[in-house]
Amino acid sequence: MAWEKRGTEGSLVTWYDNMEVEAYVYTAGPVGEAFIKGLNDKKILGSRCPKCGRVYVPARMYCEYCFIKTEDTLVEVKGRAYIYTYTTVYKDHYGNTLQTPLHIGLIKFEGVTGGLLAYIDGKPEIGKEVEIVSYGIPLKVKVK
Amino acid sequence: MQRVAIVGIGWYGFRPQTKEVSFREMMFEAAVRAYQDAGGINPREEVDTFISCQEDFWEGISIADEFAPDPIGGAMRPTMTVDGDGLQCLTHAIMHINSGLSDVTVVEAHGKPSDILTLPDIVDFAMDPLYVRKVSPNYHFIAGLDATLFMKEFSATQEDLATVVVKNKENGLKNPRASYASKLSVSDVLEKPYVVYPLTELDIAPYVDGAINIVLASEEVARRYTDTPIWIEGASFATDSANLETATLGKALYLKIAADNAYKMAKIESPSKEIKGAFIDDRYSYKELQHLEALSLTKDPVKALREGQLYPDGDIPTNPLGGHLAEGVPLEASGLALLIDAIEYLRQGKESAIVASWRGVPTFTGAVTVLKR
Repeated sequence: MAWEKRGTEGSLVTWYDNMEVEAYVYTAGPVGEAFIKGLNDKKILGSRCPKCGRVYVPARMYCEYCFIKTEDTLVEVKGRAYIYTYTTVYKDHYGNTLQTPLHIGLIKFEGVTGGLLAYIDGKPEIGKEVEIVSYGIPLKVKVK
Repeated sequence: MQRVAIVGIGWYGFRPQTKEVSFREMMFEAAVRAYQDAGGINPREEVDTFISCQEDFWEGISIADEFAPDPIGGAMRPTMTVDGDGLQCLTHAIMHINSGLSDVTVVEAHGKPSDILTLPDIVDFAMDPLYVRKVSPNYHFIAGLDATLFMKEFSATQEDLATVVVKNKENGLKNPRASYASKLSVSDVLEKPYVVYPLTELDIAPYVDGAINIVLASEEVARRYTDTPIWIEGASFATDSANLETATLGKALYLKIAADNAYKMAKIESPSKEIKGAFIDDRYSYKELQHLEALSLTKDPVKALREGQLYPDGDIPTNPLGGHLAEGVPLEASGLALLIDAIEYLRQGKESAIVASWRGVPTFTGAVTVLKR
């Protein structure tokens, strides 16, 4: 145990450095890529597990419950889209107040496992149906 | 499992800044205190294995594992690191001892968030890069999504969350580690503007610098080091689906899985009757209530709060030393911070306690330890 610690500002040695992580390439993988292409075509694509029948959104290559590969052909999701839960962001994480509060929701689709994050236009409420205004990551949706 | 004893604890820091020491010196300070607490054990001779819980991005050093052994007396000795919360480390220590590999194992975790100038960006960096990371200007939004659903499912109000804040910050006033303890009123909390709905700045525990060291021993050798061992009767950890889209929100499934395993090991059939103190992650006010339900300590945590059961003299004393809302969040040392609160509580004469940690946003990982005197 050290007794000789110092507390006076100026006697303490610190220096600045940068952990170099700013540049990185991520790969979406074949199923992720197909899902993103689907969004470009204004489609929500899911992948079905051949064993348990779950349809995953975003589409993914394997079922985490059965640990087997999902079916090769993706299915288009057409079930009702609704707000599973939501929040409103008032400040960024450095404490600056946003000019306009931002409603963010986790949108789920009937008959589907998973969901997608979305910016919500209108007053968010759990369970409310939404209309997809633009397909991207995140989605933009409007409360119906 | 065979029960394992905690025979020494040591800590250093628990202040918003610890500029007087480096993170390695902070580990050393906590270790010296723990070894003194364990009857003056010599780590160079009497400790068989060492485990450190740490994460490179928190340290600002890649392969920070290399720096784990020497500040805790483990140089040139068997030392491993676990990339997780300190309670996960503790579970690994139990495995070392139960397997016969070790009689005495040391567990260490530390956090020096005051050194991390872009900490929120590092939390962002932990998120799924494709579907989640760039969506929100505030990483707390994931807690916001979870809290909104929790409040709906359990009919909790903003006042209930504020009551948790007031309770824990006041409980911390008697705790030397609680830098953020305060005497507040519910309206003080409610008057604060939202950071992310439904959470205000006071509903979110701040970060704190701290290092913790724990000495564990097998039943055969424990009494060589202390007359008052604290016994670990059960321990487990679990991860829900790691994807925000498929993980359970509103409830803490990760903690339910871990708790059910730990209760089974400890042969606890009725947790609410057998557990006399709950030391559980409350880094967001609503998490305390959500975690209480996951631990099966109550089916209706909101009712329990309103009826006064969660206060130090209630049926389910919860975070009686203030939890993270009063002590702060020392990164990977968070679970061990709750653990040393529980050990001090048991050393004061209480019979049993549960410690439950969560690794924070954006994870769905938690750990549980059941302790008895």
